[in-house]
Amino acid sequence: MIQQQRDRILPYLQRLFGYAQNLVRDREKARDLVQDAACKALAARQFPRDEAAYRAWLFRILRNQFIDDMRRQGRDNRRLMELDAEAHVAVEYWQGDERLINRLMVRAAIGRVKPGQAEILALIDIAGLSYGEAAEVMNVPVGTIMSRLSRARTALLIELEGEGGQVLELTKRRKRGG
Amino acid sequence: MAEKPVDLALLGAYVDGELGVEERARIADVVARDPEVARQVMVLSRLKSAVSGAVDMEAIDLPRDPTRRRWVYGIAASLLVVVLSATAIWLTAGGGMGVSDGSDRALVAHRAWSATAQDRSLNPRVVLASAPDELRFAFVPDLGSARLRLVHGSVLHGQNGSALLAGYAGSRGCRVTLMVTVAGSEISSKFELTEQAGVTSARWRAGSLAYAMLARGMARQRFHLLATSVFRASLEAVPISRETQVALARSRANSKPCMLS
Repeated sequence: MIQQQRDRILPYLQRLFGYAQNLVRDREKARDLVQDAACKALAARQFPRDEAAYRAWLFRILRNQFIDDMRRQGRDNRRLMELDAEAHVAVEYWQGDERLINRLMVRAAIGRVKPGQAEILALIDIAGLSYGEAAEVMNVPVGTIMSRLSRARTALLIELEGEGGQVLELTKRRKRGG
Repeated sequence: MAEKPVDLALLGAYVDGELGVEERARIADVVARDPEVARQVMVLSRLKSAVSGAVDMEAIDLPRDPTRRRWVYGIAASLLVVVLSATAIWLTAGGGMGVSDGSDRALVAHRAWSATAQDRSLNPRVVLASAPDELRFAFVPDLGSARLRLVHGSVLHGQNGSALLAGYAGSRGCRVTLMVTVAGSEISSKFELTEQAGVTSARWRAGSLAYAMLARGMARQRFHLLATSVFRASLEAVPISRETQVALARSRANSKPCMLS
């Protein structure tokens, strides 16, 4: 039984790590966070049988662990609040040169977007969760995931444009509702 | 009839494969007809791909014996009174580090407190405040640099003296116990390190007090550094030096998670 639980969680460790890195933005802390979450998951008496639900459950444990850690440390409250805040990005439409999007630039840009935006990018694009699973993890409706993800990607593209102005050109064609 | 607009969120859902059959077909048609929308889809796809590869993954270790079920903790908790009573009996019967191997007795106490450890952080001064006079000057270190929080403090009373118990908890299943008693004449100031059945322990004398420190499942090198650091600091009754704190943090970062006890 114990080994079965270990075997079940192992395939998700890397994806949990990717998500954790975007939450804490530090490799060592991310490793700790994953291990903490794994400890809790492995010690749980009940866990979802369905694989998709199990996956969402794991990520939710990690997210709750992160929030608990932040609260315990009593610091970085702004960042904690931003996790749940709606990030506002004025630019809705953009133009860009997709040839210049590369891994290193994207990594740096993710580090500059708001924590809540980095989190949704990590859940969908790094951890590979579906919108439904991410909604389960963040305890919000699927529609909210869709809109937050859209704003996060726009913010990321804006950051990439800021990398010397050559990565992406953004044009404010029109604003939402305008 | 005007065509429904295609916004960024919808294109994102298209790229993510989150649309239903009909909506997906509609977007595919727009992409085929509108080069600008097609370009946006391409940018989103490349962005998604780049984000997915933006993290350098690394191997994550799981605790080696991580799944003590809660019923085990429940049983352990219900046995706590028995264990503490047994510990008190041991002290009453002349136990303690002044008489026999303190590490064995510290292990009993270690099992007892770690089964019911609370998620909190105590100040060493608060723990010392409850100590009897003979243990008031015990060295209870702050091990925060090793990512160990002081979560337990208690005093065990016995006929032949009292023992001050300090319990530390790490974030990866690590539990460390430090037990301090009045030293008997047979306790030497020499630092002794032993390992048996996954339990690593150290004992030493500092002034008139005897110290026993132990952990279960902790990497040997990490425990060794931890114990020697506390040993040296206890001799001089000074906080662990900055350099040692850095070494403890590194040691912790390079070690595997502990076995849960």
